[in-house]
Amino acid sequence: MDIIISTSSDTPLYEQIVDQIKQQILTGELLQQTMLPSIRTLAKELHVSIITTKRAYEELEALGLVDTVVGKGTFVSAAPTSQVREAAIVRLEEKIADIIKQAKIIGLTKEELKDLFLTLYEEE
Amino acid sequence: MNAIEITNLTKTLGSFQLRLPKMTVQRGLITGFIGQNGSGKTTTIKLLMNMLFADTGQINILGKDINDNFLSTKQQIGYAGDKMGFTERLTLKQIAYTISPFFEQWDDDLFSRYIKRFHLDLHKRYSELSKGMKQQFDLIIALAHHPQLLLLDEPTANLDPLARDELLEILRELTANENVSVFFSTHITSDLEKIADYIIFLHQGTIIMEGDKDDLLENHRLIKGKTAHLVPEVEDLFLHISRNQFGFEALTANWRQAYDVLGDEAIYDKASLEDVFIGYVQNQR
Amino acid sequence: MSTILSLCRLDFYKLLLYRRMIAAMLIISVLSAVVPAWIPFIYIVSVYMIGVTLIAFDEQYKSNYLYCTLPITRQQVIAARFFLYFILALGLFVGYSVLTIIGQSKLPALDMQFLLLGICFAFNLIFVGLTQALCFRFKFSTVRIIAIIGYLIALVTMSTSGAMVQQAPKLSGIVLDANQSMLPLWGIILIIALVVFGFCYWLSQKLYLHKDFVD
Repeated sequence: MDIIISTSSDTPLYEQIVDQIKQQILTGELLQQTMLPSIRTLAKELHVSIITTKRAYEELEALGLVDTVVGKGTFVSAAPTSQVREAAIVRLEEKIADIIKQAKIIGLTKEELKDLFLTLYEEE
Repeated sequence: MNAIEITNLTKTLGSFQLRLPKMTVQRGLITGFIGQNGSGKTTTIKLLMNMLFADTGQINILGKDINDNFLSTKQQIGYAGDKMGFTERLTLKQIAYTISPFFEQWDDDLFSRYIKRFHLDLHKRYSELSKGMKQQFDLIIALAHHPQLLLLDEPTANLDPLARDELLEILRELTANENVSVFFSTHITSDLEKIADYIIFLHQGTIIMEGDKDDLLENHRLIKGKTAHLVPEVEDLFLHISRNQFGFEALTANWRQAYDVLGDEAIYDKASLEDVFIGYVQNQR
Repeated sequence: MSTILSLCRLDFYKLLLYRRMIAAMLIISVLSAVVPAWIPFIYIVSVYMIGVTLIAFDEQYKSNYLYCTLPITRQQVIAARFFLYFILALGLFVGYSVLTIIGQSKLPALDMQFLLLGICFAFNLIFVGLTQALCFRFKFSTVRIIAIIGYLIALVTMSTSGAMVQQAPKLSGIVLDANQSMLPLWGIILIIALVVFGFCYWLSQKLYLHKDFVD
């Protein structure tokens, strides 16, 4: 399992960890029920604070992507990846709906919004 | 249960006063204690070890009040500090031999392994060691009885960069076990940047800031911008501002908020732990 | 109890550092069998040197900090130290008594000599006890000066009374007649010694229990 974090990025460290693990789960790189490294091992290897890795795992659990079993460890969720992915898409749809609403309030046209969207997509 | 819990602690030593209304050190983490020389770090640790008695307040270590049967708790504490009280003209072997009987969980194997790891010669007298090696030996004695809490007062002060890294590596290894907590005081901020999980800033006897290390480093930034932009609403966001003839530099606790106001007109540099600490100290003045 | 013994072992190792002093003491002690009249003096000096060495080492090496980090109570630290003093004074009393018996041919009155040794035992207990207790209240350098002065006074007093014993066999003759009366004398000496020693122990505990170690 590869996790590469950057301390010079604007994204908070715990978010970077969440994003990378999330991606690996959703793309199937991390199979269901695989055991993830303990928060302490992860903290030690990545040179981040244990509080950060703990927060990352808590976030992943809240998203339904992992399950923590006391005394055993943290495992990739048994829920089928496609279901998890669909759940993530639903949340994304909500965010997009909100953006569209905001754009309409400002008075952005559909074309302007599309351009804005495409420009930013290229940048990421 | 927290590793250390301090409530309403005060201690006056001459003209210096330590005042800690509340201080918590969580279990299983490495908590760093930064402060300038004379800020009260050593005094705090001395109070934790009962080398000094508090004027007021309560100290709980590993769930127990230290004034109530501290004996059993001390079995779980490993201490290394400036004054160890060893009979320095004895050899390392003799020192270990006279101290080991006190600890129920003393591990001779572990002791030997650490000695080898640090390349120390057991037949040398403690007084013959360099300052750095003395510190390493102090740490070994603290670690050899499998303590649950490590109290370290400036453990890296005399170590060269490699030895320092080695020590930090050991501390990291120890916290792989969630029952081991480390509390260490230092004025070398780069050490804490490397391994601390939680940081407490001490200044003139009080805590001026504390927080998760990654959080602190993520949210605090050094903002550099044009003097013209320094209006009161903007100044409120900053902890400390220094002006020069080419602009200003300020520390903020919430750079995203500052970005909302200043946007791309300013530069948002990452702050080191030292920058953050200095900023808060300057803020106090 | 094992804590007390471990603490005594710590102190013992401190004394081992002064190998030359210990060797000199042993040699002088053995030779004293030749001049048994000097034994009481040697006894007092031995105990003084060992006692003061321990206290001096505590001061020099800041042993109090070590005691704070060990899983022991402050009471145990004092208990161990006073236990050591007692064993030391008693042990050396026995040793020097044996040497006195060996050299008894050179002594005019054996039980006067033993009585003197007994008084020295009492003196030793009281002296080291007081010195140790005072060190918790006053600076060591001050206490050391007071100790040496009190010490010299005691030695002078002893030598004059010792001379009396040697020059007055008649006196010892009187005492020898009423042999049983030695016991109450011994009793009084021991009781005074133990009471004062006990007081010093209590005082040391009181002073040490809440002492701040600042350096």
